[in-house]
Amino acid sequence: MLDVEELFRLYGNDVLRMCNVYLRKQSLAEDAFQDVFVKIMTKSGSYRGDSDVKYWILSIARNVCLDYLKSSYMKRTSFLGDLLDKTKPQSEEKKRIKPLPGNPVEDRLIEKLDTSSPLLDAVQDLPAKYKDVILLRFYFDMDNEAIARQLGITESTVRSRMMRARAKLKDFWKEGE
Amino acid sequence: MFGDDLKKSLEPIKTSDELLEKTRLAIEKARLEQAKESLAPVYTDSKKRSSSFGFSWQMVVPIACALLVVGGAVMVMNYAGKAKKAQDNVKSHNKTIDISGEIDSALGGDGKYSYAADTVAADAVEYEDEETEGLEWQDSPVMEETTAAESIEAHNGNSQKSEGSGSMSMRPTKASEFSATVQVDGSLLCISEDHRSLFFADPKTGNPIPSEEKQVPDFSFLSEDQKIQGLNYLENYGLLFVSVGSDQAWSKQSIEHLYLCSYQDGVLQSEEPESLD
Repeated sequence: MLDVEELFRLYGNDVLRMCNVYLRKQSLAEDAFQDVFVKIMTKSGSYRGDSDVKYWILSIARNVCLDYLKSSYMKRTSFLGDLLDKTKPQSEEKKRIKPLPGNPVEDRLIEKLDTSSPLLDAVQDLPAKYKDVILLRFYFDMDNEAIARQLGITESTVRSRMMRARAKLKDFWKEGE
Repeated sequence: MFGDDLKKSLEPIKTSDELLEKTRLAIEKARLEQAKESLAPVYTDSKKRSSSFGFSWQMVVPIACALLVVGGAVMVMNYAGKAKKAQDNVKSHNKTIDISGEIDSALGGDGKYSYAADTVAADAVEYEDEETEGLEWQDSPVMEETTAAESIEAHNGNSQKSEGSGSMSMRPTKASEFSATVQVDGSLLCISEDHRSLFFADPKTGNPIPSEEKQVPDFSFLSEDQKIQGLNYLENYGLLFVSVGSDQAWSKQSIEHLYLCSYQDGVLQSEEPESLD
């Protein structure tokens, strides 16, 4: 029987961060976080034990986030997100903006201001399939074989996706890496 | 390193106690829902069953009542129809069939012949004939020659004559129906000691009554080995059955010979008994 407190302690932050990368919005990531753990606790019977609990949890988190991205809510807010991205203030101006409470546009703006870092923004802007390989490889330190197994794709696909993702993130790649 | 930079950029994103509390509540709620869902099929099924059961009974009871009412009405109507038909039949049968008019018209409408008048006249003639026949029957000497057996048949209402006395229902068939003495018109008719003759005796004193005063049937024709076994007298019809056999025992089971004598108002009609063999 899985202990929810233990799962929170071991994988809580990782799940939340993953959701944040996929969904780009803190409040949405928190909703997804709740859903992920609800699923973990209610579907614990489906865990077959043939893989690490960590990978099972990550696959659930990924599926929940992809479901969120497919939902109509995300489609509506994505347009708003694009609009905000175009009007995004420079880092020096961020702290001077004080949004009005209760306004969703301003909420999103605050989130962007609070969590934004150029690298994270770049990763969040990647397509989901590139986010997969980047997160699993550089955040969860998995090799290509494990990533392929986790995503249910071949290693060559993992490699090609990695190359394209790196190409998109070339500005953040240091020489020699 | 890219990986370190990425981890560093994600470090500020951490779970808060508020988020964990919300998640716990969501988990509890989900578990509760799950438990409800696991019970739901049973609950809905029983509810469905009960509702369908109720529905079926709600439908069946009025239908059954309606069927009963309709069935009852049909039975009553059927019974009433039959009764009316029977009444009509009785009425139609009670109607006087008068075809004399039709016959008259068929015979000729000149009034020369009248079937109705002829019928009335014929009825009157027949009635007269019957009366005459009755008188003739009573007075005729043929009556005297009529055998006792025929009288018995006449008493039985059997107008069909038959040979012998086999059809007589009053004829005793068992020897046990016979006795040694019978009472005839207040006197006691007894079998003699030698079982070859009969005699009357006073029922009070037991003294024999002379045959001149009260005539008894004559059994002198009996052969030496024949003896009177028993007597059976039908007072209402004045008929005396006499059982005769080779044995003296009147209580013998079988009847060998049976003779019949008839009395009218205590008077013997014929001295010689009639054989019923």
